[in-house]
Amino acid sequence: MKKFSETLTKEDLLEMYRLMCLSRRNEEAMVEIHKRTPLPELPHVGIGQEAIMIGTSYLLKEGDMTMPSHRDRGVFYVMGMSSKEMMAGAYGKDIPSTRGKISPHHIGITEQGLVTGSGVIGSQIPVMTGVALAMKYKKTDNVAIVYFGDGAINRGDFHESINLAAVLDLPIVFICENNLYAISMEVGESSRVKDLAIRAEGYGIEGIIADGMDVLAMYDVTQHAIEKARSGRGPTLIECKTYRFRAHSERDPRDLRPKEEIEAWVQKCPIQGLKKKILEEKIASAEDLSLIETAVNQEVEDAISYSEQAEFPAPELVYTNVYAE
Amino acid sequence: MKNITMRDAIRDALAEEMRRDDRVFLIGEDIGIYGGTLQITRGLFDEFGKERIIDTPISENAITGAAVGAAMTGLRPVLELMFGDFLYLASDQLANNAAKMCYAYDGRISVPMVVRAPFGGGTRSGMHHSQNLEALVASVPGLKVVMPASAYDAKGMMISAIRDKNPVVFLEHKLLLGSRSLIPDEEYTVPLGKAKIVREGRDLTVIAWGNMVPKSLDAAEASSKIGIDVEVIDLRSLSPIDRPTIVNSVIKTGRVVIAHEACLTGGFGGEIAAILAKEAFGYLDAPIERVAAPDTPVPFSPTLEDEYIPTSKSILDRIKYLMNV
Repeated sequence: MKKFSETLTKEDLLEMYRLMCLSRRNEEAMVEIHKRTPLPELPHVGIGQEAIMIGTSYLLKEGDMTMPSHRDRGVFYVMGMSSKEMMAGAYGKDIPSTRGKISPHHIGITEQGLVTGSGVIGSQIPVMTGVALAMKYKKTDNVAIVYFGDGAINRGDFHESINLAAVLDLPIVFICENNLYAISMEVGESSRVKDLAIRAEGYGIEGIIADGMDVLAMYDVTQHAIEKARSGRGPTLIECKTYRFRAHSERDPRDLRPKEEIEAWVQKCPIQGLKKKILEEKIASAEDLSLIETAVNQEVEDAISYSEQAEFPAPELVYTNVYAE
Repeated sequence: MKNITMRDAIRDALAEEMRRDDRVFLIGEDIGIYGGTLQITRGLFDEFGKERIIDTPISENAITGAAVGAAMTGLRPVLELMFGDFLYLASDQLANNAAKMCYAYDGRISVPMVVRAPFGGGTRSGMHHSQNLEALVASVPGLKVVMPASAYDAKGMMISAIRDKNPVVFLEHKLLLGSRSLIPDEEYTVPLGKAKIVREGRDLTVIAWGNMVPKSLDAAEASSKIGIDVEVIDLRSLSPIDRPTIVNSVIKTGRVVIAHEACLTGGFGGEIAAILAKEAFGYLDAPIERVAAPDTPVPFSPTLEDEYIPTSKSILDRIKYLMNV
């Protein structure tokens, strides 16, 4: 497979580092805040999975669409969402994109390439298949990227959609974030296949197994799939081997995962991985990275202050925009 | 003017809108060269080709979701569900995605799609191909639900449905597809959300939809022979519902029979009865009566199905009961 990441510049790598740190810091802050005073949005954080979020959505072009899962805050950042918007949304405040009507982990802003996801796990996959269908119908070379986990991959929605996308040669990339667990069920209990990517073969399309802890590996495989999709060669299933460092949600009654397993995966932290590469290859200095981290922390702090002061939506908004006029 | 069937009227509406607007396309199972199981799309493939008449695998979740995604991103899909019974299969995509997107985006996007579904009993098709599930979808905020009972209305309402910005469930009673109307040569539309008084009368109102409309007209004709002057309203649209027309009629007549082919319990007649019991309370001279199918699955054998489906005699009996004759 072509090493697309070799063409990334120093600025690209630093930007990827910044975006990963931003997603991480935003989620850490949500967890901290939620421990003190429960947020209206129950945090379902993707801490540990940032390489997938950033590597798969980086350098898309105008008109491309993503549909992040509920754990993909980093994708929202890549697509241009602000920390203030996401944090104030989590507080249930009146933000322009949702006016408080949907929790911000499903924000959709079509002009920014963000399609709203679903709280019904897997239910978003058919919708994104239709977004890809429209791209092909309109004869664009755009691509749709849909994210879901090892739990959702057992939904009929996935199987129907990937088959439909295959027979219609739709420009879509199916990103399966295999973090080894649904809520409590381990992937070995929910599937007889060791690698979920091999399911692609059953639909006559390419399936790729990728290191979901390596942002550049994620960039390489996604760009490969995107290039295929843009040139009319249909969909790809990418299985990203990854791990969420925290429980399913911040209200998880219990986390059944072995401590040693969690600790072993934390050693593979994707942010530390990129940092090591940048420093070892002298792409930038420790001071450069430290400046980025400081700016990220400040951005999240500013977002929190903003969110605490922002207004809640007016109750009468309940009744608006059920139907389009 | 031309005298055509509802089947041809629907096909004409689809073809005319596809000629007028490149964004309109059809998607469904066996709708291509084959022309649909009920031959409603017959011949359209020859004119519009496979890019705009998209034949799909049997995957109601995926194709309904795909219509949602395409509608959200600028197209105007018309989806055929082979039978209305399959609304159960499509209901997650319809209720959780199609109906909620406009609200989730607070009106920044809409989902202009039509879901066509032939429905209803009387064809010896059994319990999985005969149901009347209008109440299932009419109870979902964000969906519109219409059921024309004449070829004229079917064409005019289909054009309105395709041009509407919202998801519209368009239900076509199978036994009405061969019924005929005189249809103008020039373009016309019939608005959604308006009931039609199909026969004026003073003594009693029958509110019906779908195939119960012609049966109600038969019952009204029989009533006139015994001196009872019955008004018949074709509701045509369940969501939105035309309250003024039904309420004013019952205020005028003081008696009402609501007739539908769906089962009694949970049928949409209950909702109408509640509206009338409140808004026409002081004008009612008799209890509100409902004619509906029994609370059983739709049976297969002719003797059983004939027992099951309400007839014009069922309606006439209720009329006589309310008029004390």
